Amino acid sequence: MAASRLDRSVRWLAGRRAWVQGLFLVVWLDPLMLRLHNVCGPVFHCYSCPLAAFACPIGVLANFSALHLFPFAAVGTLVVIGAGIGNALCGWACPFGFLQDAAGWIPTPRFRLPAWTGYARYLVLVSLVVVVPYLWSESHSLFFCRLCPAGALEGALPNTVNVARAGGGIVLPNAAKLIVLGVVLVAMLFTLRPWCKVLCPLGAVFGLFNQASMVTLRFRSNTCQGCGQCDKMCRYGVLPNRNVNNSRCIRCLECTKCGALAVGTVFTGSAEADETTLGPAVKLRG
Amino acid sequence: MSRSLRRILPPVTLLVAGACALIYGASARTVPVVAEVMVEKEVIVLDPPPRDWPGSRGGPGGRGPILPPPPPRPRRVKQQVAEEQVQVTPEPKVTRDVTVGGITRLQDGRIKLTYRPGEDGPALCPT
Ligand code: SF4
Ligand code: SF4
Ligand code: SF4
Repeated sequence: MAASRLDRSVRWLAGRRAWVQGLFLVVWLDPLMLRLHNVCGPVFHCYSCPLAAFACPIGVLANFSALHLFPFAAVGTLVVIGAGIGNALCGWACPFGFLQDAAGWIPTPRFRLPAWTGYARYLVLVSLVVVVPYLWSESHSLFFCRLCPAGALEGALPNTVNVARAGGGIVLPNAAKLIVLGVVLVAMLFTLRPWCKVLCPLGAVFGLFNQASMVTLRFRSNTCQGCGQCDKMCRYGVLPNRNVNNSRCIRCLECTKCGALAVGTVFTGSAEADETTLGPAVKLRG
Repeated sequence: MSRSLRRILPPVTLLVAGACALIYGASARTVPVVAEVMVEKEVIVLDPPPRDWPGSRGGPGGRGPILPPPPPRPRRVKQQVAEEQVQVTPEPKVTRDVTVGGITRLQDGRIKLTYRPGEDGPALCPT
């Protein structure tokens, strides 16, 4: 089947993903210094960062849980984005994901993590973002933000430098946070996106929507040659020909370079009877 | 239910629910937050006794008993005093406050600002 114009555009865009990620950095780094911290952003970017445009959604969820309040705006933001495009912001816009992708350009030996490790993200989400803050408040040492590597890298370290430059001496950030950051930075050199795959609570939330979003990935089994190229193209261990729209898929669209995979919406593309958009369940695969 | 409807319904339902939550949270939802505000109040103060009062050095020439000072006279003055007030706070403002550790939950369940409105709040998240 000849590739449609949309398919060709998607493949063209997939080859320029790093540029899109770089452009989105400009949005999150608040060049106009608007500091819209009353608005919940959709990506994992710490609001303690001296250059943060929006409030971090995970920080908002955790703090609202500590206040025993339901965060309507934050949950609404995540649901609208998830139901619209699934986990695509992880692949195209998240600065912490971009950092991990950039670490992936360093030529070091890479190891694949077993798929079941992805369940740890849900454990982190439920325990450290919801339950610990709810029961023990934001001052508990297991409160998510006290362990967050993005918070350490984007918030704590730059602010330590700022305070020192302003003559306030060196006030070291929370050690636990720095240790987690160190472990994640080292792990980035040996496996692709370790934080996203194993621990990120925001990726866990968005991943749930992959199976029920307006924009979906479609596997057209009638054009599949069974060559397994898409499995090799997917660097995130998703096996798109068997479990398309898996919760680990970050919608990087690399696999669309094989004609059997394409971007579609729930409103279009139903003409081909044997295409698959919805898997049997949210599955994690290696 | 047809196959295409089964495919369309979940994301559309989620999108509508999410949009409703977002609009409600961003524009209508409010939270009662306790804040310590400075209010001007009339208070009664008692002036300290004067150092010199008639009879404080005894009678003429320093002789005779020293008389007690006159009783202090209450005076009404206007003063700034800290008072706890419950403020109806929109959710976006609560969101901004959590980003700097400017809000906390008290033991009794009330939510309280950690700074006084009008003053510079904390600038950074405490974690
Ligand atoms: S510490 Fe982490 S979770 Fe908390 S606000 Fe910063 S980036 Fe978000
Ligand atoms: S999984 Fe988390 S850190 Fe990774 S891209 Fe998504 S939001 Fe960002
Ligand atoms: S299946 Fe893999 S290659 Fe395809 S979009 Fe998802 S993460 Fe990217």
